[in-house]
Amino acid sequence: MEVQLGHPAEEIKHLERCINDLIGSIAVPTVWSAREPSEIVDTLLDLLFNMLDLDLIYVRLEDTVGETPIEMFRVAQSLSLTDGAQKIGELFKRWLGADPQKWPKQVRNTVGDNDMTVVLMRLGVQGQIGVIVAGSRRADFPRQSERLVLSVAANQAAIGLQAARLLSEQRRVADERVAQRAGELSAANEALQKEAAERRRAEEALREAERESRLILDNIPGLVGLLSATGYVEVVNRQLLDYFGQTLEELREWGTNGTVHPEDLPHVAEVFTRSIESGSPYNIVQRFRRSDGLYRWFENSGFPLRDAEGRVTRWCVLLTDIDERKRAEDALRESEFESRLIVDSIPGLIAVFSPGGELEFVNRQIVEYFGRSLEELRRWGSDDTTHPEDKTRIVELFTRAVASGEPFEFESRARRSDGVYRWHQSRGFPLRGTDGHIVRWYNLIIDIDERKRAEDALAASERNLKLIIDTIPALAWSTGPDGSADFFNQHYLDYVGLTTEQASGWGWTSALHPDDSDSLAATWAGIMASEAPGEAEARLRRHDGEYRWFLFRANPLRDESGNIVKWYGTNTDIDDWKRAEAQRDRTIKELQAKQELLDLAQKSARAMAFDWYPQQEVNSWSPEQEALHGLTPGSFDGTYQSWKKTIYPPDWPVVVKAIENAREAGEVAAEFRVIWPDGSIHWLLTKGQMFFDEQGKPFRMVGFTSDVTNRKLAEEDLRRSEAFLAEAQRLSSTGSFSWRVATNGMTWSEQAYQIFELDPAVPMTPQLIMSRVHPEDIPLVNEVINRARATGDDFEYEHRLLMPGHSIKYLHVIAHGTRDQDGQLEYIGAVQDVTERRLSEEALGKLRSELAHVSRVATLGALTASVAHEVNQPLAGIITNASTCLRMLAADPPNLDGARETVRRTIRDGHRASDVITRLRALFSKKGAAPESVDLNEATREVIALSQSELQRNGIILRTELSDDLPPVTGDRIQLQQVILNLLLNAVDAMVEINDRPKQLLIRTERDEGDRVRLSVQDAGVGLDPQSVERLFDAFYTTKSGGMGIGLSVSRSIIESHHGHLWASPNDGPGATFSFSIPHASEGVRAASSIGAIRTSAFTDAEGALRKA
Amino acid sequence: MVTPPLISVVDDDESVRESLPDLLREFGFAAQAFSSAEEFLASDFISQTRCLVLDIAMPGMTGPDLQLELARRRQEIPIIFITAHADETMRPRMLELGAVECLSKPFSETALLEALNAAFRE
Repeated sequence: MEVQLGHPAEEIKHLERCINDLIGSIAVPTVWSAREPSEIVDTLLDLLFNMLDLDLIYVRLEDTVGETPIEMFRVAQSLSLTDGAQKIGELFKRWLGADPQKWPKQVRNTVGDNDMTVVLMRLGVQGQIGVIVAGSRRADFPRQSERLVLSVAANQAAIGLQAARLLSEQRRVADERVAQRAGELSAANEALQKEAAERRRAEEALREAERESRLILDNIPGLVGLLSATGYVEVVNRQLLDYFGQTLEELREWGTNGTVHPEDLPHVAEVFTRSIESGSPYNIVQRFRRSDGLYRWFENSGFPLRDAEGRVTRWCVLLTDIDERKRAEDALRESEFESRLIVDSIPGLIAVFSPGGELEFVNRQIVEYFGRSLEELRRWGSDDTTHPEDKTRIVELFTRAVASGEPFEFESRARRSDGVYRWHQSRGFPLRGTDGHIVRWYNLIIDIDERKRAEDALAASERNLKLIIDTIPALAWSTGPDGSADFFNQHYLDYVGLTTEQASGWGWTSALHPDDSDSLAATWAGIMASEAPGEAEARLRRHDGEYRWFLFRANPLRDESGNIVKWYGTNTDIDDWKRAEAQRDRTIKELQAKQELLDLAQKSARAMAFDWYPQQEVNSWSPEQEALHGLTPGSFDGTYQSWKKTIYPPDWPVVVKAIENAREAGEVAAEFRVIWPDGSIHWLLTKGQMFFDEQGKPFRMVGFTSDVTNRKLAEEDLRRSEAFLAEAQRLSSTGSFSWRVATNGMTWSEQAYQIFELDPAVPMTPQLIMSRVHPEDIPLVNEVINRARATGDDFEYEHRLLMPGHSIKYLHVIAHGTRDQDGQLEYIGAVQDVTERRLSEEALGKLRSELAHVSRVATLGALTASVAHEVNQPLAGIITNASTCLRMLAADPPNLDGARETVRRTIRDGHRASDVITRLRALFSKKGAAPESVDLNEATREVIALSQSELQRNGIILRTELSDDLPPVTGDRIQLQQVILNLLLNAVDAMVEINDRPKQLLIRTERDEGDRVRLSVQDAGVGLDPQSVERLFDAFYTTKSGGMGIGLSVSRSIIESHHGHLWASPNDGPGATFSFSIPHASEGVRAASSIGAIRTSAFTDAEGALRKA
Repeated sequence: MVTPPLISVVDDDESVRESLPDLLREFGFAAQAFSSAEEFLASDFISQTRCLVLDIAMPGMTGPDLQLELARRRQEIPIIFITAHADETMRPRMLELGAVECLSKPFSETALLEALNAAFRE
């Protein structure tokens, strides 16, 4: 090593620095580890550049992982080389030769304006890594130490680079591998993720499925569990858990914890294990312990669930509680055993079949009887057990029964153990379980052989008997003890044309004649009751419909005890004989009837048939004839003379004439009188015929004579009364008429014609009548006539006639409707001329009306005060309120509420005043009599209201006792109120002077006897003098000064026109009571309506007409 | 505080009892209404009453009767009679008996005021 001796301190420093640098450069590689070559180079460059204070340092790395060598450099600023490393590389190439490998270690050259020494260091043993080129312009460059540093640094760099290269190589490889791996991994990752996702989906689905199955599991009404393929309990449903009262963990110990009944456990375990191993389903009946500790029978069914490959994945276990069933089965078995015991003890042949008809069991008796075993007997349907003739039939019956479930019964022959066929009756019935299904058939077999044979024999003999009976030529029959027929022989059935079915019982009675049915039934009942033979006659209808008489004979048949068990009978045809008898009877009756009729007729008509032979001297008379002449029977000697004497002498010529007539005409009819021995005269009517002999001489007269005295007398009376009637009609101006409605035919009396001023010779017709009727009354008359025509009711009404001379007549018509013997309606009536009466009534009515009016007017004075008072009160209110209102409105502020109140009061008072006027007007209006229904209490209250002031002014203390159940009266309300007012005011007047006692006035209404209503006005006034009570009611009588005294008189007449009466009586105490009583509505209305309604219009019209006339 | 003078109205008619006191109050008076003389006598208002408006015809004790009774009790209250009966003899008679005035219903407010003035003048 060169030592440049300069300043030793400087040298020391330099050396120190160099050592530091060395250390530094040795230390650097530690920094380099795990660094990229370029990084290493970079650091190296910096290190060296600064350490050695270089002007240039250049590194070229040959051996790089990449293809192109790395070239890096540092250049001092002062140099003007600004070109890139490559340029420098080329520069070096120029300097150092082309091949960097051959570059010398050191060279001095000019770079730019400077000379620079460039030192080259190879990296790597042969420089295969690269080169470092360091340059400096210093002349002493490179010093030994620098060279050392460079060398060390180069070595270190080489090492580092090597390492780095290795590392990077490794890393590259590793990276490659990693990258590859990463690629693989990412692919695998993707696949994995996909798989994972699928698996998640599958898991989800599985979970869902599990949830569902869990749900199902838990809702299955059964105990369900899932075991693993090895039989490990995986899952059980809720019900199972609830049932056992154990947890899943506990249940898993089923093999040991007593869940399974210890007695069953070995078997269960064996079966279960075998199943799990074999994979085949199992079914075990075993006991399980329930949550309450009780063991119950279960059916434990397990079956495997397999996957696609058929491997068992799970076991599904279902536990069914069959405890009840098991116990029932056990019980059944028990009972079966018992019943078997019983069955074997019953002394009968019993067989038991399955529901399908297979023979399951036969009792001991059967086996012994048939001498066959159960096995052998099973072939009963095909072997010789059953008689060949019966086999098909009974097999079919049995099969049908088994199929339908209906009990069966049949008779057949079966072979006994000794080989003999005997008749048996077989009865089978099904035994049903609780569910209704047939469990088995029980069959009871009874040996009926003897009985059957007997039956057959009996049947045979019966057939014989029937033959005999049907051959007998008579109608034979039999009945039971109750009389209902059970047998008819063929003749009977053929005769009546009925079948046995139709005739049996009581059917045969349909062949009886309806008229004989009841009597025969009665007779038959009697015979049966008498229990003795009997007979009856009745008509039976033959098959062709003809009825013929038969004699029914019946005989009872008794049993050993004497009781009747049957009735036997025969019916014999007696028709011809009966007819003959009937005819004879009829003839006799007829004759008798004729005779009776004749006698009766004579008696009834009080007539006598006579038979007179004129040529005979003596004609004997019957007692009736004698009676007609008032002769005692047997006293007539039959001579002509004697007869002549009986004739009333004045009528003898009539008789002679009649006889003469008879000789000529052949007929005789005469009315004449006879004298009886007692001197009485009787009228006789004789009618008859004369018979002449061959010579034409009268030879016989036959006819009737009757006593017509009564009729004659009646005729006389009639004539007389007719005369009277006519006279009476004339006197009373009443005519009579009859009117046959259907034909409108009329008969009028003379007086009727007179009234109408029509010619009696002209037949009266409705049209003729109407020609006289006053035009205004024509509708009324038509209405009455039409109603009469329709109803046939009696009618009574009044109407006017307008005479040719324009005068008016008032007519009162009454008619009574009757029906004649043909049902034809005919009216009989009377027509009366009531004109005069009417006129006077009118006048009277008018006067009364005037009087009432005057009376009202008189009271007017007394009421003026009332009016004034009644009206003034509200008026005062109105004016005061109005004044108040104005003031209130003028106030500041205006009193609107107060004003409103005053206005309201004003309106009310105004109405009050108006009401008063209305009432008063009603009271004083001059209306005609108008009957209406009047409530007296109402009327009274109104009158009181109107008289308030009067009462007050006079200090009257008014009391009312108005009855609650007062019926209304019919009448004129106004008039009645007039009366009440009159009485009231009178009572007030009576108390005017009184001042020592209360002025009490009592008005009372009440029911009065006889359907009347009474009103009383009682005062405490001056009272009455009993003597002059009646005078009070005289018109114009008055004790009042200034009064007109008409009140009471008019009041009385008003009351009387209401069919009532008005009276006064003194009180027990002071004062008097005035009362009136009038009938109430029901009576008056009814009476009035039918007549009054019609009358009213006529009257008011009449009034008008009168005025005009 | 000045209390308005009290006027008592005695009338059995409701319209009057309703309307008159209001009008009197409008005039500036205090007013009391009674449906009968007895009611008035039984009330505490007798001594306070400065004027009496009195109906003549009433059931029980009449207006004139009340006048007599008040005189007997030495209650000197001016009386204005009112009546619904239009009777020409009534007024002179009432005045003779010592009434301030006798008015016929319906009366105007002027007539009433005049009567009241007359009553208070005394």
